Amino acid sequence: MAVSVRPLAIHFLAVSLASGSLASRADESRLRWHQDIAGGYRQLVDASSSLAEAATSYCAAPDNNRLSQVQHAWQAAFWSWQRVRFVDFGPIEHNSLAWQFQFWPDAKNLVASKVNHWLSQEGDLNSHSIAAASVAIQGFPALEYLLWDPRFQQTGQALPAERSCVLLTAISQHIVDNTDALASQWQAMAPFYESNERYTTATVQAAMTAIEVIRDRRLGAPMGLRGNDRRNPYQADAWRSETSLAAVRASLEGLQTLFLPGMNLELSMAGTPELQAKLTARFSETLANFDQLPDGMTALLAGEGYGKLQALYIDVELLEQLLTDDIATTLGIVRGFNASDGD
Amino acid sequence: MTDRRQFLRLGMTGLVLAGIPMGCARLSRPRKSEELLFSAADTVHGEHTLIGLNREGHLKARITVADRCHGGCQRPNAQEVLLFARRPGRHFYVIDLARGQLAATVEAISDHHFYGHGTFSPDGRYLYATENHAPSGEGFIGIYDALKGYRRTGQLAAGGIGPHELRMHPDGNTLVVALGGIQTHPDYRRIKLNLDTMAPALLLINRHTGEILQRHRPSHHQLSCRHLDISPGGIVIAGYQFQGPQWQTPPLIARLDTTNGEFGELDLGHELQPCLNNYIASIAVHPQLPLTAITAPRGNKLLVINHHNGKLARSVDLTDCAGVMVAGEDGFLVTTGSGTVQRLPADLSQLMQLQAMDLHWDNHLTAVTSL
Repeated sequence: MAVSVRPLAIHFLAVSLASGSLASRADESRLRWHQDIAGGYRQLVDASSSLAEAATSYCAAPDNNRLSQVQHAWQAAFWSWQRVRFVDFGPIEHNSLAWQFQFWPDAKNLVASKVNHWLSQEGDLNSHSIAAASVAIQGFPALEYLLWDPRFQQTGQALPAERSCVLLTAISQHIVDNTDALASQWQAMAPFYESNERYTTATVQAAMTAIEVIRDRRLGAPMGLRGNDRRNPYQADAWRSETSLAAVRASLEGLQTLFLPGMNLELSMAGTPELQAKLTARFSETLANFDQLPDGMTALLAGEGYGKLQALYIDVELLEQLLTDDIATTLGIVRGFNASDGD
Repeated sequence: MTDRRQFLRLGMTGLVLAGIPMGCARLSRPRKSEELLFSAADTVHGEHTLIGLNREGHLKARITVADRCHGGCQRPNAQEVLLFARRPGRHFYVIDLARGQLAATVEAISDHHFYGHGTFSPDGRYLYATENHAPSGEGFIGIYDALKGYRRTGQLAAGGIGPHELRMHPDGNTLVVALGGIQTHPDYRRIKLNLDTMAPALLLINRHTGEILQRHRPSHHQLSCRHLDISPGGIVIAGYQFQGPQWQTPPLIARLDTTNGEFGELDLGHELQPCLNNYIASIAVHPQLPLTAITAPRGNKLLVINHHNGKLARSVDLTDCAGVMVAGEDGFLVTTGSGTVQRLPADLSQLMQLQAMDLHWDNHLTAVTSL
């Protein structure tokens, strides 16, 4: 029988050499997407490095001013992650990187229990021990807990307690290591991404999924629209820093900046300028909601501002319909049931 | 008016299935038996169901359950078919074939969950089901006594982490186990926790003593060995799911001759191999023909190989193809995530669509003989 037990090196990138093709028009959208996402990843590297530097300098000489710099740096880095969070293929899949950046949803509050577990231990604590630890402690939510969690702030372990500072810098450094790997592997993947037709489908599907997650889980669940009628701000992400809506805005802005231009090229090639115009307008209209919205969701869920959340939800719903029903259908993109979530 | 969905016109040429229950020990085909297909499916509204179709194409069973389900197997010498909740599943469902209804729901013991597959001893008494002991992450094969209401009476160590599909060897004494190697924990849902240190394998385990008789390792530690089937002559075909970078395209199909321990992986060539997107879903080894059908839903390909010589016999484009099973002289039946049931005849000439239902078929089909 034809059997091969070859070293992987032989397979490595062999397929990317497919025909040494001329960059046809059909590749233009993927060239654009690759380049835009690369820019998003680079921004994530930079923002994460700034966060790690801010954490180090705060822990070297703690004061309130430096703490607030760490908090701002966390927000900038977290929002950089939100901008590229829609990309669910490629190197982000290695070692469950997306989960490492943001363990969410966290129904069992594992973030809190893992942070407390590490703080109550004596052993080595650095970016290497974090790299080998639970995903719940490897990313932004664990840092958010250290920086904002109201109950944690009342304890003797609150920053700038020594071990909490060590944990803060170790997690920040681990995030930097991961973003470096992500950005460089994305670059290495360029020829494969650009020459493979299936990544057009994968990229559009990634955007569709991301918008559905925003509608159903990041907005719908805390708004009480998912089965039970209970409004619950803790169902949102980034509730500890009261930035759930700012994070959603960053994700939508990321889609507008990093996904839409490539999508427009694809629609232009498909000869559907009306869809191109509709999608561009729909993104602008959806994002305009945030002019009237605070960063957090808690107050709106409790009071009369709920109508503004509903307006945002409806715009996200319209965006999802346009992309899934009109655009994906026109381009012949179908999401497979087993292809996307088999076992 | 009869709902079209409830009255499936599979056509007379459709489900003429041979008497070979794929998930379990094989039976000789009794006369006047009825050949069925069982599969888990989700409705378009997200409802989880177990569906049975008979050879005339009528809906034989449609059972709503709490969990999304995965693999299944028939209990030999009995009117029962089992379907397992998908990992991290807490239940398996026992269906009474005579009534087409749920006979029992069996829950996993504490701290354990199912991986979604099981197989029976040839006499139909003992069920072997792959399980995760969540606190340790160690894989086990739970043993359930069907005569005692599926009480869990014992377990075998599965030789590592993440046992997935398993089949009874034709010798009746040996379990053939696909060890995926991926550690998960219910607290972390389906997140893969050990991609650096995975140790997948294809195993032969003595079901009486638990002794590991053969252990074969895939050519890369991130090739998760998940699904398999075995021929009456002891040839195993196993499918992998690669957890490494997408731009690497390692072999995804293994062949093991259990009689002499000869293990190898199939090279599909530089054209076809990258098209599979590093993911194999289901395997069906034909017991009478030298043909094995293999689904690759992420590559939208249905492959047929000759399992005697390891050569590719046919590659067919089929979007989101998932479940596959042997249909005797009629070749193979295949389902898709978009709800179609297709037949690939034994001459491998051309796919024929038998049915399109308004639901998503899950990854696996279970061939069932109703006595």
